[in-house]
Amino acid sequence: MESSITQAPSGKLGRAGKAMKIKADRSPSERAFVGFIYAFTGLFALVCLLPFWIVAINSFADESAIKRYGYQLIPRIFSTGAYEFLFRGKQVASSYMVSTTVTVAGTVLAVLITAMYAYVLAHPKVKYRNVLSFLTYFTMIFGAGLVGFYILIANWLHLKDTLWALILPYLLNPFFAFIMVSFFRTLPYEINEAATVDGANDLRIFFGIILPISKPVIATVGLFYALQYWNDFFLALLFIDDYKLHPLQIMIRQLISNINIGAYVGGSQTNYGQPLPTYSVQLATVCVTIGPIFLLYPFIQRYFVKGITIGALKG
Amino acid sequence: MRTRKSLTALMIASALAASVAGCSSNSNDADAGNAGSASSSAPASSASEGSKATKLDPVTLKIVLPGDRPADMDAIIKEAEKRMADNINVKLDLVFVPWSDLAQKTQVMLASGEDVDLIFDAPWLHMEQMISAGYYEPMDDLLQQYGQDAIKVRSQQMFDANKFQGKIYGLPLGNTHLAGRTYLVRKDLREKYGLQPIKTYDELIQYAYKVKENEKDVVPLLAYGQGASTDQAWGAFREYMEYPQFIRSDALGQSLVLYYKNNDGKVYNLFDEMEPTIWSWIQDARKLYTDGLIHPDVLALKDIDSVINSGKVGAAVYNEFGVPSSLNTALAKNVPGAELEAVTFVKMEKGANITNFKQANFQAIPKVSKHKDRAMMFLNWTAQKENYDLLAYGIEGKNYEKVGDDQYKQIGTDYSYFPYAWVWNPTTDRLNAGFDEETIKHYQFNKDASNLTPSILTGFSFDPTPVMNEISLYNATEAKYYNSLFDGVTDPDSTWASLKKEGAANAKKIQVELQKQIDAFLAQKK
Repeated sequence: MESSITQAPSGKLGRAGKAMKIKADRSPSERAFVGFIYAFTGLFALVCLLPFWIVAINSFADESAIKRYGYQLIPRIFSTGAYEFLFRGKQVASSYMVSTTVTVAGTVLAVLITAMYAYVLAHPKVKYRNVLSFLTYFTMIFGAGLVGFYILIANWLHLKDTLWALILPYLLNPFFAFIMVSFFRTLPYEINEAATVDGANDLRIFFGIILPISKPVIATVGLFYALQYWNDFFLALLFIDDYKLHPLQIMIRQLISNINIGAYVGGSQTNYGQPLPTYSVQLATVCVTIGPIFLLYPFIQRYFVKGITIGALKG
Repeated sequence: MRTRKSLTALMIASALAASVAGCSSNSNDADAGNAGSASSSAPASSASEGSKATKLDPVTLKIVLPGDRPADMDAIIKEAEKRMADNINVKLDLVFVPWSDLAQKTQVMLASGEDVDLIFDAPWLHMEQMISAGYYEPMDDLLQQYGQDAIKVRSQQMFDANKFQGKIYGLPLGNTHLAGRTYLVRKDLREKYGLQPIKTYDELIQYAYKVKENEKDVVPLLAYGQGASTDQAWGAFREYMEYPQFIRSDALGQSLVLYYKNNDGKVYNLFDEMEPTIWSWIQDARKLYTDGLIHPDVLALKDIDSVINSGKVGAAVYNEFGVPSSLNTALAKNVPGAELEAVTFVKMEKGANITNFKQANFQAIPKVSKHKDRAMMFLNWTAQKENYDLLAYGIEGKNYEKVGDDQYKQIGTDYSYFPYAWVWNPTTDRLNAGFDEETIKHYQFNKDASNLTPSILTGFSFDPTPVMNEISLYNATEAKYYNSLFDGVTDPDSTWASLKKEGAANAKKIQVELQKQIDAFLAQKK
């Protein structure tokens, strides 16, 4: 373990050479073992892929085929009817705009503010940093409850039906702030001293030196924030009454809500049976809404792993 | 270096922009609010002076409704606002809340004192609770002053029976005085076996056995087994079709454990004495389940409609009379030649059915509303036939077609059906022209309040506060056993024993409290 970490920076070439050497030296039993590992992981990956495959491919299936034969690996009749239905209205496009705007703007602002706040908490020359730390920690345990939160956002800040209502409440997440604090603490304070001697002020030190060398933690926290903003439906549910500002997740929320309607309206003699979108439309909705985040994952995953170890090892 | 500097500037600028934007929207809203309150006070005074000729200032009403926003909503709002411009001059801001979040969101909205002018509420949601908390305005005076049409289209019984704590806190919404109950039966299968139209429950079961014998892929019977839809469990559903009636109590929702019978003002408790008829329903359901007639997954199925229209069900229970046309169209698309017919054993004789005229849906005016008078004017406006048609069915020729005076045919799905949430009344409501004759007769019969026997408890409303704890404990117990008992999924004797062991004590306390309140109510009535 120890050695592998210290060896890691020795470069790609060394590792590649080592791998080739192992390949050449394989004994039959070792080869069988490696083969088994491949088969097992391959199979496992396939099992993981299967549910998604069923959702994706059946969103292109003909509705009556789904009804009659159920979900199939390869649908008997293909149709793009579900997508045509979905894109007929403007809701998907406008929801995409809202979700994207909120995610991008929210993530940039949130990372900036969290980083600045965490820097203050981590800075050894800030007198009240422990008090601030405690206050931050305090909010993780005690909340004001839903009504208080609602009154703050809706009645005092008057943010109802604005995109700020979707962005502001998540700008400073205490947990992410502490991840950043633990990273900043590992940076040698001598850097600050050297920069001060060279005539840099605090702003310059932070934006010019600290931020550039903190890219791993910024990437990690940025990803966490992006996911949070993208997946959130709760704020929109509370604060966005104007359907033109509904983000994508509300679409899914409504879908699920209508399917489970019986569980919510029990005890009423009225039949509320909402006309549900057909199965293929439900699947298509899922496919459309997971799009961007799903495509983003493979590219950002490595930061995720790195970021989690940053928090874990040094926190 | 220059790029760094500009980046810094950019970030600071964006942070500043955030705070400024927050402030600016703040001041805008405040202005709008002031303007609104100013304009509302003016028409109120002018209207009370009786000078109707003066044009009212435009006012936007914020109305909270359950469900999804229909695709064509904007077009209908536009048309409605056009029609209202010359008289009540109201603009509509409709907020749709998903069913799953209705309880939480409306409660938070009311608790925070947000400016809402009309809000959907119901006894099964949190109507009593919100009234006790003082969030709703009593409507009696407003109705007298501005709501004459809204009163006219509803029966007196409807208002009398739906008071809370002696006052009208919500406009009752309902298109009939008796909730319809139906078995949806596959007509094509019945005819295939050469059976006559089904007239009795025994014939229904005969048909179900035929389906079992002949169709491999079709499950004969389907009922509900999820969550709170206990009224539609197979055995419990039979109560609506058999006489004498056992009426579910006011305290435990759709549970049959506490019930009324003979219209005698007494609360009966199944734990004290098992009613033989009800027990026979339970045993019958068990037999049907073990014989493989009731759907084996009945407790797990959520989306009953799509199970029905996949053509894999022989007969299913359904709330309301008649076959909804959406089901028949979907079924015919999936299984060519298949058709559903409505079978009901609800009697159509004068006085055969006892009812307390309770409605399940209301529109309330919150105390915080600045335009209570205009909200009532709007409700009144919706009671006029042509306006009702617009709001309930959409634009004529585009969303629906008139069939005669009291029927309609829906076109497309762009204006989904939700009049129950804001305008429903028995007089101007149209029936689906796709209904069969028998169904239409049922609806028309039950629109007339005098065709029903009023329950001795009409107008009574139960105040659950003294036994709140017991009720929630009992409901939690019942949720474990009730549906599986009445759908025949588990053994009746042992299930009933468990339910009795865990629930009897709480049920007893609730029964005693309910009886106490009923006695007080009846004494006062005399």
